[in-house]
Amino acid sequence: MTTRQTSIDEDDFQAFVDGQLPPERCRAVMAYLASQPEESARMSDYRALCEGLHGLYDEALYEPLPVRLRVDHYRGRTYWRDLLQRWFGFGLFGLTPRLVGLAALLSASAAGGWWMHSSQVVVPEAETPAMSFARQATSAHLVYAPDVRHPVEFGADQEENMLLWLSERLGQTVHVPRLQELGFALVGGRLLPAEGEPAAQLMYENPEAKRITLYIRGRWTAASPGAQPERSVSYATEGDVGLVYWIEGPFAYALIGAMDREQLFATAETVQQQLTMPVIPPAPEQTATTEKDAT
Amino acid sequence: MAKSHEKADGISETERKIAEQIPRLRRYARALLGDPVRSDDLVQEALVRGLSRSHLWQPGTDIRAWMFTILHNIHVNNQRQRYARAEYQELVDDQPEMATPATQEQSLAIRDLARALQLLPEPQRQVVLLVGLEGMNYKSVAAVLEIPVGTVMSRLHRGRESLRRLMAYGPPAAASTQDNRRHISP
Repeated sequence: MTTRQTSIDEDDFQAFVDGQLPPERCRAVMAYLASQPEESARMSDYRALCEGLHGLYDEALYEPLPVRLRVDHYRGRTYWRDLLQRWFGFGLFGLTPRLVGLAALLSASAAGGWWMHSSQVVVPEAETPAMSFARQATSAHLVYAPDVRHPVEFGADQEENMLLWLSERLGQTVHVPRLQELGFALVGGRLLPAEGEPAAQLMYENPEAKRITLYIRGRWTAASPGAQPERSVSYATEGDVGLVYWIEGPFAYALIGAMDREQLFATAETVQQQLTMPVIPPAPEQTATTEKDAT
Repeated sequence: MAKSHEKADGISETERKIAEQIPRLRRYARALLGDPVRSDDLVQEALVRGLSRSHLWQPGTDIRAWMFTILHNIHVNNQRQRYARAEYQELVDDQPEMATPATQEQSLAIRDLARALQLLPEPQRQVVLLVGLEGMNYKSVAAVLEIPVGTVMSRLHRGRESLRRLMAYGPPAAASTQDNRRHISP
């Protein structure tokens, strides 16, 4: 349409990695990268570095603050008793979400999820790919869904950018299911590290501020070839949070929320329908693949 | 001591906003210094200074960038004093060998990231962290570090490229971290 610069420089690449390019320019870079596997690999490496940094240091966000790093410590008028009361009363800086996050991190750590934190952590062998997937999805939900200030990396207003980025990162087109009919609006999404692989989390919220998340990651390879759990849907719970997960195409999906089993399955069904028949099909010419599995 | 508009719990709105920045400042400082105790010291200094100057913050401007600027300035001052001791050099010299089976490459790589990060020249490390970890936009990074956006971009590129090389090939012979862009053959 308009004349856009065709030369792509290093600044564009960096801004592409950081999601700081306007969508138009972003597409130009993606088109360029499509024919440049080495440069494309470099972009992936840069993003993997960002994820690695989060994996190493995000823990610091969820640690309880020592007293010397708390504002009321410097107020002079606050007594120790008050400090403690506030500390345990979760009054001040949204400590509750932070503690929930911490708890999630700790449980993830116990199960080996925090393996990247220390070279000494031993990952238990018993966990199946499905179990580890469910655990990651649940941890991600427990960490981000209660977050009041930064629940998502991209808000719903940046949906287009978010999709470009998530699709690029996950290596396949990511779709955002519409759940308005069920009363859930898109809050946004984020990219997450999942044991060295990128994963995406989409978050929805209903008018009662109840949040559900859809966790998307590359599918795992089946333990025994031939026996692929192609259309099976699994259910699990963790505290009052329920989780439904399944494999569809190149991805494994998990829908997580504090809902009962029926509600969760119904919601998952809506999601599933839209994933097999996306609202906006990417390439209308190829109809052969869409009809594959109509049971 | 000037009192700003206080709420019932004795904490002003500005102070509350400052408090909200603490976890992120902590994360950044920890990644920057690679040492939880020293980094909490730094955050504490920044917090104290931020609180004592909270009346100088302009409501409506980005308090996060403001607090990061304070932290950065304190850090620069501390660095000047600490450089006298050759503490920094130890990090560079203390490089264990890389004798590990190739199958563990991936997890090894991520573990090594912490070390590789500390091998970066600090100006690059700051930019890589503010952008890649803190998710700041380039303009804010330029403001925090008081450098032009162009410098942010070139440091970002060099820093990432160095990290990438460190992760792919292991630490180089201690000296070559400063200018190693462009000759990569994956």
